[in-house]
Amino acid sequence: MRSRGNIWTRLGALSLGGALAVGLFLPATLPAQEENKKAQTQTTDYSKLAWPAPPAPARIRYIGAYSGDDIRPKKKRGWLEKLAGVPEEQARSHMLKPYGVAIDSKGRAFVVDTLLRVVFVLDLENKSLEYRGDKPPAAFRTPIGAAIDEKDRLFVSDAELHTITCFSPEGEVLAMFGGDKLERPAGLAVDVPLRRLYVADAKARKVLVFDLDKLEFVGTIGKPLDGDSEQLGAFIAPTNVAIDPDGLIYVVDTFNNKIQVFDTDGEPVRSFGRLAEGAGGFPRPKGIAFDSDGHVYVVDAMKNQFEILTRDGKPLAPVGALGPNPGQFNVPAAIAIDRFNRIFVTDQRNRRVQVFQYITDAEAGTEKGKEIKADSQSNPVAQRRPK
Amino acid sequence: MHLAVLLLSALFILQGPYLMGGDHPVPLAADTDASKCIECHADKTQGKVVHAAVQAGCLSCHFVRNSARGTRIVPKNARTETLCGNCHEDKKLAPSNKPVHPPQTDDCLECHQPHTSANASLLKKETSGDKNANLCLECHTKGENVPEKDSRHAALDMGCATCHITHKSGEIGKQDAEFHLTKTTPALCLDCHDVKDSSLLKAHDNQPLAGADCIQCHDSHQSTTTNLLQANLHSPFEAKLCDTCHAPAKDGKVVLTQPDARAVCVACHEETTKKIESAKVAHAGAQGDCTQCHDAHAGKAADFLKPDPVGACLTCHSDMAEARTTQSVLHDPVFKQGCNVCHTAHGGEREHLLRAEIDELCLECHAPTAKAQKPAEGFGETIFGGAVRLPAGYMDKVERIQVSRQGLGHPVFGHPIRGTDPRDKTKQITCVTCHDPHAGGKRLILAEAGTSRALCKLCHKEM
Repeated sequence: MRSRGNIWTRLGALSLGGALAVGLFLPATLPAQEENKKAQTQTTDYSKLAWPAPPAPARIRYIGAYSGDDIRPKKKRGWLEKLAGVPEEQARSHMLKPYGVAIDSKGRAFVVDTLLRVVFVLDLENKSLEYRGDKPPAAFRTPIGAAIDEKDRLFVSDAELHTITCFSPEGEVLAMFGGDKLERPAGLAVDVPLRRLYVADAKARKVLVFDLDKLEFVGTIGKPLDGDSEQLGAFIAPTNVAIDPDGLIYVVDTFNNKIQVFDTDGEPVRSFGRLAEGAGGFPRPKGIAFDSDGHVYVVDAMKNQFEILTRDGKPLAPVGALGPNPGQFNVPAAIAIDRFNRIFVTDQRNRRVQVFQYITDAEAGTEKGKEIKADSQSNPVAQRRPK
Repeated sequence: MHLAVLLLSALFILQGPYLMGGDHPVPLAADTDASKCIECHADKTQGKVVHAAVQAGCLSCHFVRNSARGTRIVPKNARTETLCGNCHEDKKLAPSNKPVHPPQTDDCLECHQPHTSANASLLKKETSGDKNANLCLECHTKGENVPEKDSRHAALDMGCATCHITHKSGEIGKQDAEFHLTKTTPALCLDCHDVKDSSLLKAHDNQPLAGADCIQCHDSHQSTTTNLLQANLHSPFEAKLCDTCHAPAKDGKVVLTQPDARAVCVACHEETTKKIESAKVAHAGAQGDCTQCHDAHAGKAADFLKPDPVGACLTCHSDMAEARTTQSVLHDPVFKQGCNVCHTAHGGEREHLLRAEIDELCLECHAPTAKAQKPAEGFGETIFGGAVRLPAGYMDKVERIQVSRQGLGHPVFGHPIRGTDPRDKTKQITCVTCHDPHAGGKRLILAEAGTSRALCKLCHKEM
């Protein structure tokens, strides 16, 4: 009797306690679940993404990301299309491993996909997509670097074929050259006033110079590193190259963790960067570009960010972190900045190209900016961003 | 110079100032004629001294760069060394580590104006006059604010160019190259001072002067004593007790009170003589004439080593003299402070006349907790229990290695600095397994290894 009564009382107490617990916790959990649901359905507004973080005045804004076909307006697929599967062109319409990027005067972004062996032409204005190198006579094995000259001719380097292919603005192959001189070409840069095409060759460990009109080899810049890594003008593996507003040649020596600077005569001027994770350090530097205020942008694939520096290598601000979200990178590679200061960064493992807007000194109204503003009023050539 | 300072200065050369272009307010053609430039920039052509390149045309140094971003005027070369060197070939730096006036390595425009100037050689200021007027005195302080009882060389008022040629260089260790002099001493001094002058001879106790080098006893700029004497003076010399060592000169030759110089020194310096003779490991150089290494009268260094504490040894140890000119990084104590920081020149107990056992010797300065002692009297700081004197604050600048008590952690985390040498089991790892104590590559790594990668590969063959 005693034990039975005991069991019942115990069970009763338990159930009462359980009900109490449920009663206590239920009202508290419900609103939290609702909030979670709300957060899941609500998308983050990435259009307000900016660097440096507020309250500092924004100097870099996020514009968007493109991975190929998503640039076109979405088309409803008919039942026949669904039944027949995906057409061949669409299978290729998502980037797989974008590396090089270049922008022409019409604002079209040319993104080189190393694995798909094709160049994506993203027309941001007309929302259309084209390809280069997808039909003969153009054929790529490992296309990597891209550059565009003032006539909107596109140059694409192929690391495996050791060639550079030149396309007309309409996409015809104009020339293929460099086969006898190049060993493993990567990044390209064009100097319009000096009529030069610079090719960073990671295997020859030099920068090769070609004539922009005759497309003939002219000379080399730098030399392979031999011994001391502090040696100026000597490379371990130059991968990317860019020219500053003065025409100085900035070469990214990826495995030497340095940016090496040469003047137009090919004389080494200076170098900056070191093997470090922090500001001004480049554990794996890749792409390089300049904005209209003359700042240097260096993409680092290990830091998963691009860093903005002054032309003598003083770090100003980093942008990005590891991740799949807008403004985040996963092994970024090349960078290109157009005349409207739009920044295009290829994001290799996120399989996309991200676009940012640099807010110039003049627009941000900084001290230096005011001077630039005064200048640009008297300078008819000064570029302005379209509305 | 300290190793870190050497490295820093190397970096400075790499990252020195450079020229930048600028946006031009009006568009220009790439082949714009100089006359067009002068319409606005007339001031660049007017002055007492005008750069010959201005006559040759603006485009001899500038470049008109027309691109989508507008017209920019850009210097033809980003470094003045290259740009100016296009014409001034003779002023271009030699590729080796020859002594040069430091501004020459970073920027010609530190001293020169590019277009016009009121001074010769387009200098920003004259090289003579007081502190405000003299260009050299912007960096140097020679002859400034000398107290009345001290002495000051009258030639300072004639301008620095009286004795110096700023761009002069030459072999490392050579006096005229190191100090950029027009001539080496004493020939330089004799341009003004006559050795046959009776008052001069009288001041020198009528001893023959023709063969002597003036700067052994005299400082060429200023001194805290009378007659521009060097900072450190031998006590009999200071007390003018010349007859302690000298007899009157005979037939224009110096005559000593003893048959040879060593005997003169031994008469007073008994203890040192005993040390030299009874040393377990003897120094052959110390067995002969003391004046081979020491000056008998005065000197820049406390022990009157001539010409300086490094040069005294290099006359015999020519391999070190060669290393000084060929290696990229020099260990500061060896080539700046003097060989006696690590070696005992009068003989010692250890091989190579080392002051202490090899690791102990290096860790005296480079151990994480290494500390200098403050001497009871005198200047600077001392190490090895007072045996070695260093300039004040010297030890603060020495690079320390980070090692645990077990001797792990250098050059990378967990790496041993003691133990058996993996290449030769009979040997122990010491500092000299990887470093050359005198001169070598970056961070003084062994010259035969070349790079740090090659050095690591000596043991880590799998790399």
